[in-house]
Amino acid sequence: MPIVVNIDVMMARRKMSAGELAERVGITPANLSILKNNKAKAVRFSTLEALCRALDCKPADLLDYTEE
Amino acid sequence: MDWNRDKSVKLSKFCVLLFAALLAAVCLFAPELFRLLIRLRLWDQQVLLPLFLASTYTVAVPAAAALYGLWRLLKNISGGAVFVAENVAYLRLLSWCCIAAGLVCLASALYYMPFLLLSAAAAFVGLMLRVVKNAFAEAVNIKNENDYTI
Repeated sequence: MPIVVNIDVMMARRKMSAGELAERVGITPANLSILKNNKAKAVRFSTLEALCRALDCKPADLLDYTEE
Repeated sequence: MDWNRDKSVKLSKFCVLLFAALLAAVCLFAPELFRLLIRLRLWDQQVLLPLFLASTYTVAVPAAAALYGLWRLLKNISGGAVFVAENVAYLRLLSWCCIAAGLVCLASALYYMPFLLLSAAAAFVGLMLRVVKNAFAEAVNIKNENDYTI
């Protein structure tokens, strides 16, 4: 999929662990892992909003588009 | 799993076992059954008996495969795995088994016309199963997309 999720980059910048982020966003660590590993098929706006709030960033910081 | 659903799957499994027993009995007693039919209808036993037996034993192969597919399908459903790729494969197998049985019956209609009805029925069931298989395949895609929506 040409959409790349850069959560791990933002997590490293904010020095936040996966467990802490999952807890703040309100998703399971397993689902966060699916997002981090680019296996997700879709992201809900509510999840994206919670991620942006927890990581203090914009959606563009989390999502990127690369040509296949 | 609630009471009704559990019982329903158990009933389906029982029916599959019943049909398997019936198929085994037909295979075992086919010569006697067809000899009796031929004697009652006053047909030529030398010509028709081998043809009837050939048709029966040829149809028994896809029938057994279909019963195996049904059993595996019911086992997956009772285990909670409904919309999975494996079940789509079993539905495809069931569909092809029906179509194969229909083709054998169509060929058998050359010496016994009523087989034409069986052929049409088997082909129609095969077609219906194919449509159900298509719907199942789409449901598996939707489920996968839903499972991976975070």
